[in-house]
Amino acid sequence: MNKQKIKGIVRCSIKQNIQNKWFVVFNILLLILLVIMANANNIRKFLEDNNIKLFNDEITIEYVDTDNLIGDIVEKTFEEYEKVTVSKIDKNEYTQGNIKDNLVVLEIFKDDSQIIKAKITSKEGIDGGVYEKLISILEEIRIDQFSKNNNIERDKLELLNSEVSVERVMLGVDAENSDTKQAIQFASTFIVYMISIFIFSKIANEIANEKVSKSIEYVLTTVTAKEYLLAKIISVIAVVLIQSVFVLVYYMIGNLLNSLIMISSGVELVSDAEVISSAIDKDIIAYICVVFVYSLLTLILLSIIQAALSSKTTNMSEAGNSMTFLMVITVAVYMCTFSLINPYTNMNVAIYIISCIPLVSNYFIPAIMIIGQAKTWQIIVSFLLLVISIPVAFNICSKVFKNGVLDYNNKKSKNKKVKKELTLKEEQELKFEKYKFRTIALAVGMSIIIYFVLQVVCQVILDKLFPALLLGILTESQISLIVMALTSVISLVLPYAFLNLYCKKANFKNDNKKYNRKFLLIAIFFTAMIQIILMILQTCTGLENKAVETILDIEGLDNLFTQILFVLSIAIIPGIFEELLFRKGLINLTKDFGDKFAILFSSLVFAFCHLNVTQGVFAFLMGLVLGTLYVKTGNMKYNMLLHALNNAYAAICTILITCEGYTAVLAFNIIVMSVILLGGLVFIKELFRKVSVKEKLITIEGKAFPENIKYMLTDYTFIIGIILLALAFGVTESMLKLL
Amino acid sequence: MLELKNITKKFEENIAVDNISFKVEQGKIFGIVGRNGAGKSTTFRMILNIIEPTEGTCLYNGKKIDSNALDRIGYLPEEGSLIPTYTVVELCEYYGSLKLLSDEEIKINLIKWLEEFNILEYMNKKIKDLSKGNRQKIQFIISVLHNPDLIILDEPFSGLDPISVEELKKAILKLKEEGKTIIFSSHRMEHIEMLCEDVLLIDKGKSILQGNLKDILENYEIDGKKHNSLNEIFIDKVGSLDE
Repeated sequence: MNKQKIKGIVRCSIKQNIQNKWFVVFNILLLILLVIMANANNIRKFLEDNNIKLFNDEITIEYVDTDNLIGDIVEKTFEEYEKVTVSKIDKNEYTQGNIKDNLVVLEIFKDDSQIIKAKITSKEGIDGGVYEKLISILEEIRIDQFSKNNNIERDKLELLNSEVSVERVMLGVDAENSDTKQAIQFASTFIVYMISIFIFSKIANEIANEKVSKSIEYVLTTVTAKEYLLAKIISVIAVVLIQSVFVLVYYMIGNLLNSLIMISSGVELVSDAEVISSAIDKDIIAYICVVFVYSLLTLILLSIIQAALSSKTTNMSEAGNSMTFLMVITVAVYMCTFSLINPYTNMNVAIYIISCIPLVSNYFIPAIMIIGQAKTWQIIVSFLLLVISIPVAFNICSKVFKNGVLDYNNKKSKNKKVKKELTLKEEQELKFEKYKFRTIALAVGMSIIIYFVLQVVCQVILDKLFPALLLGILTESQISLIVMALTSVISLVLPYAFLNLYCKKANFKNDNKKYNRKFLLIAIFFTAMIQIILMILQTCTGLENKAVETILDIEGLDNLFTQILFVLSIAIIPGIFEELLFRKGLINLTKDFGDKFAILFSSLVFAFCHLNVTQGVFAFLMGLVLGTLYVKTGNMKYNMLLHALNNAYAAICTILITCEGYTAVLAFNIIVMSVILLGGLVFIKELFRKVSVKEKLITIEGKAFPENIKYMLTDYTFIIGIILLALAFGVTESMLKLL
Repeated sequence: MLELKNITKKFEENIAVDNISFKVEQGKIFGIVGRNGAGKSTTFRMILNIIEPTEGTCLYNGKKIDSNALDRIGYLPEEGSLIPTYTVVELCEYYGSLKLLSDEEIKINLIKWLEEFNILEYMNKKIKDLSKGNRQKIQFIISVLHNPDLIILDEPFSGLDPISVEELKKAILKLKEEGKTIIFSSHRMEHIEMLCEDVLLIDKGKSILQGNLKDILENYEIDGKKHNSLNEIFIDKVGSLDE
């Protein structure tokens, strides 16, 4: 190691950090702040002497005492307050219009169960001191009344009211100093935390600055990476120490100013040093030393790690992001300290072991010392580990640093799993494919997240908002239907909008209306078949579709408006908007990978978004039918129609059963059955058509199933979306079981 | 005085420099020519000990290059290595201190070189306020500030206007007269032809031609025809290598 060169770097770095306009601005602000803090007593005195009071409003208290409970206690209490005038009135006749500012009206009545009752009226909030006085007056009167009513002496009552006296003794805890120590621990952890952030940002910025400007290229021709790293860490720690000295200086300036003012106003001085030394004994000094040593060593360790992390940045904005890692760790340890270690903790081996780990020990060891449970071996081990970890970390980090700081490319190291047989072109194509799947994964994952978040947010907000706005105009069930409709619109349209950002324009619209209608009829036939088969399965297995039953369970269906709302919010609106998101959005997004894949993928997402098995199975099969319909016709209106019709069937049946009786249901079912039958006939007819047309109508074009779909799992958003989906699925499924 | 023996550098599967050897004589100007990504900068970085060669050795005056030897070498990196928020003086102080120069030496040398390039007025300006050409000049000044014996210039002419190119050329020739050894790289043949005595042509990490520039120009024949231009020779060589 070349000391001269290290010195050179440290010198320049410190100079750059301190002769810097932001350093000066920050320090001037700090100076002002500390001087004000040190002179708070003088400022208060100055304000008082000059009769400048921040709260000097005059207050009028008027009281109403119809039951003659008060006597002159109010006047007596406020006697010494010049600003308060008290008077008795007969009746409180103030309204919002005529009550004056700073007027408080107190009314007291007798009450059988509560002894007395009171009412305090004012225009706005009143001064806390005045309010407390009023409450104490009320308590006084209440005790008085109670003793009179029950013939108990007042003194005895007061005895009962006073707190039970408890002397707390914790023999394991150094009770004498534990408060001071706790204060020191709290202050020191906070200060260490602030300093860590300061150090992280300094190191991250300096290294990123030198790396991005590529000056590191030149610097490393003359010094080794280790020398450079050491110099940077020394310089940053030095800057922190200099800043601390500055803070002390500011405090001293403030104190000197304070003494100057005190002396000139003739007050006897008490030296600060004396005050401090009288309050601290050797135990606390030892404690402070431990805290200081651990903090300093940990800061050095943290800055070494931060330097290695910063070397991986490729631009200045990443420099800030590189700080997050250590900051999160620091916060987590900080939180753990306060939740794990307190006087009531029974220390166990796990905590002892954890507390020996470097980066944790600087928070844990002082905390354990405070509760008096620190063991000598523990302190020695943790200290040794911390000391050893510094050179170890330094060696590892300087290697990481050297590799990182000379690597200007953003991309990660090459994927070694790529098989060697791949030619360059194939490899590049594979990468492109991966990129495409990751884009899709991002779009799908994000829209799932948006969908769920909006569902929850809408339900919470609208469920509170609408009843408050509309109750009285509409019935409860009407409001809940409106909320349901709005929720599905909002939570489906926004994810669709997001998906649409990543969709290419679909160009598979089929304009042949005759064919399209045939497709629709066939799709209706298939939908009916699915419904019927699932219904039979359900009756056989005894499973009930509870989710649907809860939705259909609505009161007040005899009203025409409710009926319309019911059909709209259960059938038509979800039909239209679910088709937009799950069919148009998802299929357009994934159509590049073949129709089969697009249909299957959209059906799967559609099924899982229903969040329970019974509905999910149906949704999956429906998804296949609807997806095929969309791919064949390329026209959203057929899909919306079919989806709405399917939903509307259950809704209309429910309405007819509750209002019209079974004859109407039968008539309705006959109409529906004839449409289904028509669809079946068309399907059978098409099955026996000429081959070429049959191909066009019934089979689905599609490429082979894309095998690179696994790359979708490399996207973070998609994974979070799946986790959310899975959790929500589990929760609803188990909730439905409970019903 | 500088000798590279069978230097090879591999980055995982990718071979950046493949078995290159050359010798640079004291007081001469040595040119390295190659396309972008041919391995010129990697070779320089290995000479300067920034990265370790996978195989082979670099000798400077017969010894392996250590930090003492590095202090006698000046380096101009290809891409700007100037910290934009520093002023010219601050940067020279910083870099000078790394070469163990005193403040006084830094001041004298800096002013001398700034006057040489007629940019003395920029001495207290921040790097970010300078034009690209002026930054390149400052970078050159930094690489020669400590009066090194061997100067390595990676693409020194990039971003310079014709007048600045002439100024820099003059400065390089002046350094040569002082007995300095200079290695520089370029992808522009005219710069090499004007300044160098010895050249090395590399492509895809491999040495394709090396030797005295005059000899090469006199003796190289394409289809039995003699050629006077390094450019044509290079294109001929690289073209044949692709097959």
